[in-house]
Amino acid sequence: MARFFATNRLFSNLPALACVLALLLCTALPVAAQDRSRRGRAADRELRAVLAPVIEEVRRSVVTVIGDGAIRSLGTVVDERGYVLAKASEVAGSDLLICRTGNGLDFEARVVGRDLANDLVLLHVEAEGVFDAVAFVDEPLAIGALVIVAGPEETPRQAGIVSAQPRAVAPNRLVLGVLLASNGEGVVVTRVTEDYGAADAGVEVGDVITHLMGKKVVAVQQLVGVLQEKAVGDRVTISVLRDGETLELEVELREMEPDPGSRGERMNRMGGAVSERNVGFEMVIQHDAEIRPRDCGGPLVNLEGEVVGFNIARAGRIATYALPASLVREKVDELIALDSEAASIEPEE
Amino acid sequence: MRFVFVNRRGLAATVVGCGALLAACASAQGAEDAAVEPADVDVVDVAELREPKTLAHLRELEERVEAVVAMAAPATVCIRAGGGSGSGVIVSEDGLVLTAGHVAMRPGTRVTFVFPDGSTARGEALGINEGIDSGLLQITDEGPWPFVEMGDLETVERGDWVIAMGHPGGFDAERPVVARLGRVLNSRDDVVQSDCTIIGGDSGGPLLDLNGKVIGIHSRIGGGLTANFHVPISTYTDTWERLAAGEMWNRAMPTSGLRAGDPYIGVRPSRRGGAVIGEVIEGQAADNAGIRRGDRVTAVDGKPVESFGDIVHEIRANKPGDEVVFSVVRDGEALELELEMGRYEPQE
Repeated sequence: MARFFATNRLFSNLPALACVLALLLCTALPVAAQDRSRRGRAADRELRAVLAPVIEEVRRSVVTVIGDGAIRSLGTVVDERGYVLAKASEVAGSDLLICRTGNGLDFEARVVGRDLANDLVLLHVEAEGVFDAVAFVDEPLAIGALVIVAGPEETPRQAGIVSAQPRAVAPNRLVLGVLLASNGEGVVVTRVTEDYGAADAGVEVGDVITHLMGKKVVAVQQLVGVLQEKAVGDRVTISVLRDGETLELEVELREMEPDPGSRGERMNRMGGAVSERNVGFEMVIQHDAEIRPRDCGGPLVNLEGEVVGFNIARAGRIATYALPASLVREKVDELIALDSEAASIEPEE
Repeated sequence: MRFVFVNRRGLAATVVGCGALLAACASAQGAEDAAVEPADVDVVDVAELREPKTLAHLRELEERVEAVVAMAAPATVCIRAGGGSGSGVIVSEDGLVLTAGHVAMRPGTRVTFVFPDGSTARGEALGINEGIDSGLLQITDEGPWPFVEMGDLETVERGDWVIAMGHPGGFDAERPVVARLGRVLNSRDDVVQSDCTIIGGDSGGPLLDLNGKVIGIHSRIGGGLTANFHVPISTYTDTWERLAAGEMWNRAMPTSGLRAGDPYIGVRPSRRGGAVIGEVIEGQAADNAGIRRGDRVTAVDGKPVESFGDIVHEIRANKPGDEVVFSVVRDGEALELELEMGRYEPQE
């Protein structure tokens, strides 16, 4: 019997426009039981074998970053003195970091510094002269250019094409976690969303926010303006009027997470895990190589074997993001400079 | 009766359609001098590239993909209709646009086209085959428009490289068109499957072969990165006249349930699909009229029907008590059955 399987129609909602009618518009499509062995690009071993010589040099500069015994991300040797670049959010929280080479050598790594704006972490291993560093090259990439995701192995992890012109990807908005309405004297809390700062700080529905950081608030827009200047984890003080009393509450700002139950987000996660940190980058090259979150942290290579980017996030069903070469070089230089400064002021023993 | 299909991950397969609240159509002009000649791409030996054995093959593949993307991008438009956002591809200089049926919604739907450079044009929906999910739109502003050519599904084989283009997530000026590469995994008269990953907003966008011809239109996805489904180009060419004439046919089952007092005849669809009666409820209007299980309905009051949804649509155009003629085929014989429309009363 024909099997009915997954069919999600792809028409997207424009969230800004109010919906007046919700339709359940589903179709089922009988397709012969899915043959997993069917040729597809992702499963294309032969293709990846043809690409192997292209990454032969580069792959020797790629390590696996292991945090407290578990594989976290790839790492790319960016300086032969032993500096390794990885994805910050994937290695965060590990007490012991190890960089493992393709031939199984382990080096304990020290965190040099982070560039949180782009989720980068620079590690250092005491392995001077052991590694060659990759050279990040500013090659213009046409949409449609083939790109390869390299790991330490001979065979590339994945391949794909450049999907779109480079662009910045904005971070999630910072929010208190409340819905607000203006009432002339202040703004009234009409809903408190669980798991955000306001709920934790004890903000309640009906509270009137009169001041933010000591400044009088009369319109919702004022709050939004102030929040735009802040960073994740910053705490802001609000004065609220509740039952005739004024309370001072301290609210931690958190990123507004996409609703995992929303149709768009459900579709985005159909087909594999996405990186936990997948927005908020100064500039990305979007490509369609179907990688896992832990394949991030490695180089993006063109058909000439040049390193044109650094894979930073599996963003969703259709997209992987790589930071372009010029941005990576700039950040690496800054982080290495910080390390040299730190070293030079270290007291002699 | 209400059907909710779930995909393999157990998620309800739903689309939220929005009422027509598109406030104002954006200004129309702007793309007038954007017309380009289609397919300025050398014809390629697709078979040779199907299994690249050398880097030279891959360099050639890359060159082809880049050329196809550059050629097709100006004709890959974002479509705003009824509060949603989909994609489409222009296939004629005078502005005929292929899209998915569920993007076009219904004949006459007013749509705004957004070009990759941000300029816009106005237009409307022509015909829609809801069952197969094909739709045709017409840009009503004056062209000429950039366009790509329609391909031939007969030339497409499993394993062929294909390129998906569209406006996933809606129009984004920072990232106007998004391209993905993949292979044809399955090609049939009613559906093409590829591993070009697509997502919401891509609906209606083109699946192109390495010669830059449209061979499919994005329709729907399932769980897993290989479950990307496209409406085959053959159905557009086969039903071109009906689409161009603004017909709507092969309707999906309505999604709103029956309410007391609705016109009702008491039949259920066959599991084999089509406009075939699977079950006749005793004592109701269809039973009284002599409609039997297995009857294939060809017309209701002279209006041709091709899907069970079409039958339901025709029933709903009547009131309880109306006289309606059902044309059916039973054991190869054509019958005309007169039916008095019944009235739905929910069972306790």
